[in-house]
Formats: sequence, C-alpha cells, structure tokens
Amino acid sequence: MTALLDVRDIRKLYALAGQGGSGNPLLRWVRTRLTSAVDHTPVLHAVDGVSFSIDGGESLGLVGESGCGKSTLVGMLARLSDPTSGDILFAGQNIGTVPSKQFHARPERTDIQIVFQDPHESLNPRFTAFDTIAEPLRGLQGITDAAELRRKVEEVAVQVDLPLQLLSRFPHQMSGGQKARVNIGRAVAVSPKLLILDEPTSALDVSVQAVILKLLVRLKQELGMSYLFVSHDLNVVRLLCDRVIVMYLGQIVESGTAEEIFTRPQHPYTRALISAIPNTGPGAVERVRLSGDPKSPIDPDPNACRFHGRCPKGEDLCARAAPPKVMVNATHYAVCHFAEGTAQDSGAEND
Amino acid sequence: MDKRIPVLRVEDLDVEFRTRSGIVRALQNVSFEVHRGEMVGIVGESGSGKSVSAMTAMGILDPAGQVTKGAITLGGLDVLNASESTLQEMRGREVSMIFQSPRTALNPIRTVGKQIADVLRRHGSATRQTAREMAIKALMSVRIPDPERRHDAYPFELSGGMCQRIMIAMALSCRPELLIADEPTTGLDVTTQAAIMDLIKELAVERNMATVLITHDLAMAADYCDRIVVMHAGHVIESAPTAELFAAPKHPYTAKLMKATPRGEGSLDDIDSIAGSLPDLRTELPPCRFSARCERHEDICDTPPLAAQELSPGHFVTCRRPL
Repeated sequence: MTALLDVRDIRKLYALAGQGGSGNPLLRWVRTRLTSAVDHTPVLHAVDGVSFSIDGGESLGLVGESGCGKSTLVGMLARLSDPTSGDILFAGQNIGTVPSKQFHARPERTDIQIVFQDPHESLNPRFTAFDTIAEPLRGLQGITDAAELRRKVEEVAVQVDLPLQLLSRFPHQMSGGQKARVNIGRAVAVSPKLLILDEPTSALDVSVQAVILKLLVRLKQELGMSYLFVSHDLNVVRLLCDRVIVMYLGQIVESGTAEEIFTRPQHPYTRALISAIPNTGPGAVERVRLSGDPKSPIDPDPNACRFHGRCPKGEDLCARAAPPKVMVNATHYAVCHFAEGTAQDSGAEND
Repeated sequence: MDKRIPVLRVEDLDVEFRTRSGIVRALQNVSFEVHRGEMVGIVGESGSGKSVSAMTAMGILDPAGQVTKGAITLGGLDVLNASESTLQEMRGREVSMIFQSPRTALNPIRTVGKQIADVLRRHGSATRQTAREMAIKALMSVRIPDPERRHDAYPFELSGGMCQRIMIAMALSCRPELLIADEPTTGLDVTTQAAIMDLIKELAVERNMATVLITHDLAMAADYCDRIVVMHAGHVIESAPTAELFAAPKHPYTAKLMKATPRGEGSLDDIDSIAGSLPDLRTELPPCRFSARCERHEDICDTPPLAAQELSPGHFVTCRRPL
C-alpha cells in the first residue's frame, strides 16, 4: 500500500539579504570584485530535511514549539508556498514541483484542505455561514446551480451538526463552537482526502472542545480522510492521533506511535514537552524543565545537535557531531546521541 | 473559617455594565478571600467574570462598569471607597497584575530595563542613580540570563517567554503583598508555560505572597493552586481546597468541567462537553444561572434565594442539589 502523502527530505530556506550579502546580484558582484569581503548571505533554515508519510485514514500529530517550522511545513504541504528542495508525493503524484501559483488548477487542490487556527479570526466577517461553505463548492467543484448549491451546503451543515437556521448568520452572530463547525464544514465540503488541522481547538472553551474533537473523529470515519493534526495541546494529540512527529528547529527529532511517544519518549525534548503537560494524573512523571530559548535558525552549525545548550543531557559530543537517527523499533525513531536503539547513519559522520 | 486576616477579601460583589443593548449583570454575589502565602485559582469559561472580578479588586474597572453592591478590602484598604490617588499608590506597591500576551502589555518603544525602572521610581525607593542597578537586580530575580545586556533590549528583541518574565519582574519589583496573574501563560509554548508557572510559584513561596491565578485551564490550576474558586456566568459556584475539589466536586458544573478537560490517560469517550452555553446576562435570570444547562435541575432550584453553603470546612458550594 502506498502512502497517501509521502514527504521526502523537504527543505525551506530563506536567504536573508542586508547583512553581509545583498539581494541585488549586481551590487554583490561589484562588492566581491572590488573588496575582499567573503560573499556570504545568511540563510534561515525554516524546515530542514523533513521526511514523513501519512497513510490513508491515518491521523498524524505534529507537535513542537512556535518557531520550529510547523506552519512553514503546513504551508508547503497545502502548496501555499514552494519548497526549496525535496519531494511531496500525494497519492503517487509529485506535487512539490508544481509552482504554488499554478496549484489551484490541479485536482489535488480539492484533495488537500486546511482547517485554520482560531475560527474567530479565520472566517471572513462579511460572509454568512452559507457563503463560507459554498465558496469551495463554487470555486473548486464548479457548482453554479443555486438549488444544487443550497442542497450541498445543507448536506455539509448536517454533517457538521450545524443547525440549518444558522446558515444565514455572520461570524459575529455565532458562538465559538458554531464558528468552529463552519470552519470545519468549509474544509470538508469538497470531500478532501487529507485534512490539515492547525490547532483546531486552541481558541475554544473547554466546554465545547470535547464535542468538536468528537465531531472530527466521526467525520474522519464517515469521509475516510487522513488528518495532519498540528497542535500545542499534547493531551488532545494523544486522544486523536495514531502517530506523532516532534519537530525542533526545522527538523524532526522524534517520531513514533502516539503510545510510544507518550509512554517511552527517547529524545530529551520530547520528554520536556510531555512533562510540561499540567497534571498528568497520579504518578506524575519526573519534571524535565528547559532553560533558555532555542538557538537561531539562521545558519545552524551542521556539526552539532540543534538542541545542544538547552538539553539537560548535553555533553561535548553533542556540540561536535550531529546526532544520528536512532531506530528504537520499526515505527519509532529519535535523533539523539543518547537514544537507545540501533543507529542509522543518516546524520553527519561521527568523528 | 480561617481566623487570619486575608490580604484580599471580596464580599457579595455585584457589578453591572450599562450597554446600549441593556444592563449586563456581570457579577452577582461574588465572594472570595486570598490569604498570605496562598495561591488561589479562579477558573471558568470565557465570559464567566474571572477578569472582571480581578479588575474590580484592583480598582481598574472599565468606566461602563458599576459596582452596585458589596465590599472589597485589600490589605486593610476599602478599595471601593478609596480615592483615585490612594488607589494609584496601592497599585504596584501592594498589588500588582500580570496580563496575558506580554508583548502587547509592554511598551514597544521603550527598553525593558527603563520600563522596570519606571515602576521602581514611581512606587519604590529608586532614584535616577540607582534605578539601573535595581532594574538589573529585578531581571536577575526572574532568572533572565545576561541581565546587563537584556536591560537595554526592546520587547521585540525578546521571545514571548522572556517578555512574560519581564512583566513578572516589573510586577514584583516593589514586593507587592498580592499578585494577580490573568492568564499569564496564554499564547506561550507548553515548555515555556511550565517554566513561567514554576517561576511564579517559586517567587510566591519565596516572598510569602498572596497570588490569584486566573485561568480557564482547570488542569493548570490543579497543578499550582492551593485553593480553587470556580465561576460560571458571574457567580462563584464552588470554592474549595484543590485536593478536595478534585476528589469530590459538589457542583454539577465543576464536575462537568473536569469531565470536559482532556487528561493524559483515557480515550475520547472519557471526555464530555457541557451542553448549551453561558446564558445572556442582559436578561432576567433564575437564581441559579446554570439551571438551563444542568441535568440535575428541579423545581426547587428556581426558588430564591440561593446562597452558598459550607459543606465541609473551607468547601463552599452554591447549589440546591449538590452532588
């Protein structure tokens, strides 16, 4: 069985002009010819060599702190921005090479949908719930017949448990939970194969969070979608996801089934994330606290672990060699010098 | 009941907002106390009156809001009848507040060191000569690495967690008796969130300070608070020591709230949402504002007056039919 989405060694690098190098090629040429300055443009590594796959019907959790490249990655998968290098295979087709400006004409445009963060902000305030849900049906499926459009929108509303009389309302006339339903309805209206959920519950009150999560689980079964679930809330990830990947400064540091990540985390960063969850019930885990801020993603040292400096375990080795990918078992790996398992030689060679 | 004199005592507080679409009864009969060295969590959904209670206690209620009943005593001072100049003296020196989203709360065009020095010069003993030194000390106390250099940084040069540390340094620079933290970790990363809460707790214990933590996250309140006050639609519906509240919640809403919070263990079937939403506070409401959402509702619930009853020492519940 081929994976629905297969991402291979994807990178997004941003060249920063202004310091050292200039964006203008002519200026740069003049400068290198007339002075002895080394031509070096600093490069921000937003996403740096990420590979993973999602099977049909699977839900994958993506966790990591802000600035680790989650949103850049999501933007590339939804083809809103172009990767610098790497492949995005969606149902066997390489969509990574299609320029983002031309992607809207591809059939895959319908198959990948996003539910954006914070329904209060992401809904168009001048669109009624009906308009919002009808928009992708008109634009992507080309439904123009008014009666058919209404029938389709009502069908979606029923699917997401949105009372039909609310369809004529504007976002400011609806509650948080209702807006979340509209937001989800818009995304599932065109029956996508992959749904990317960017923090779908973080802006909601606890009292409605559970019902939205249950709705997502039900929709996934009914429509046979795969989920990429981006979230800060690890408790929610644990409830919803089959597998989890953990990102740190543009790279995946650990990947495994939800059970493995939460009960037997190998990477110190994953451990810190899990022990930061408030009140994990009886038998609370040992507290791992991180100090300081992440390193800069601009020109990271290729021969050091990016977590070095914040890592409670950090040793000399971590500053001298990039950690290898250590396979704990067939489904679980961690990128750390100290993970238990068999090392795969994918990182830089140890000296 | 506790015999000590509380740092903050709120008694039978009613607050109304006069708006164009009617009078919003934002708080009704709100009472709670905070003692020295204690961390009290105020928990509830958005719109339940958590922040309004705190703002009223600091005397910074929006002009549209009016206190119609009740009393607030803060360190012996009658807040509701005090003059604005007395309140200004009190704020910053005896009571401080940490707001959510530190980036917007800080002045973007002033270095953080100067902003701390402002507080120290207004309320503390700092002079122009000693201000810098004292501000650096304040930065050190919130474990900011390299405080000499950070003193001259602007907020945009610092991360969200670092900005929140600056806010804490500012709030605590004059050693207040009471700290009110209004959702101090919203918008921060999980790891930073834990570090900030650890810091607040540590400083509170170190200084034997009274702390009010306003949050919608029951799990976080459980982790850090000694006592929890649960609010719903402008009412305090239950207050109890943390361990007791979690072992045996008495109000149906508290029990539901716990059931709705995802925990580490268990499956999706174990969590349950709360039906309905907060009632419209502009309309005439039954004595129990939760009655429309409550499964245990019976006719007796609609007969006023509804008062808090003490079920066991320190455990209050405002319900006719407690669990």
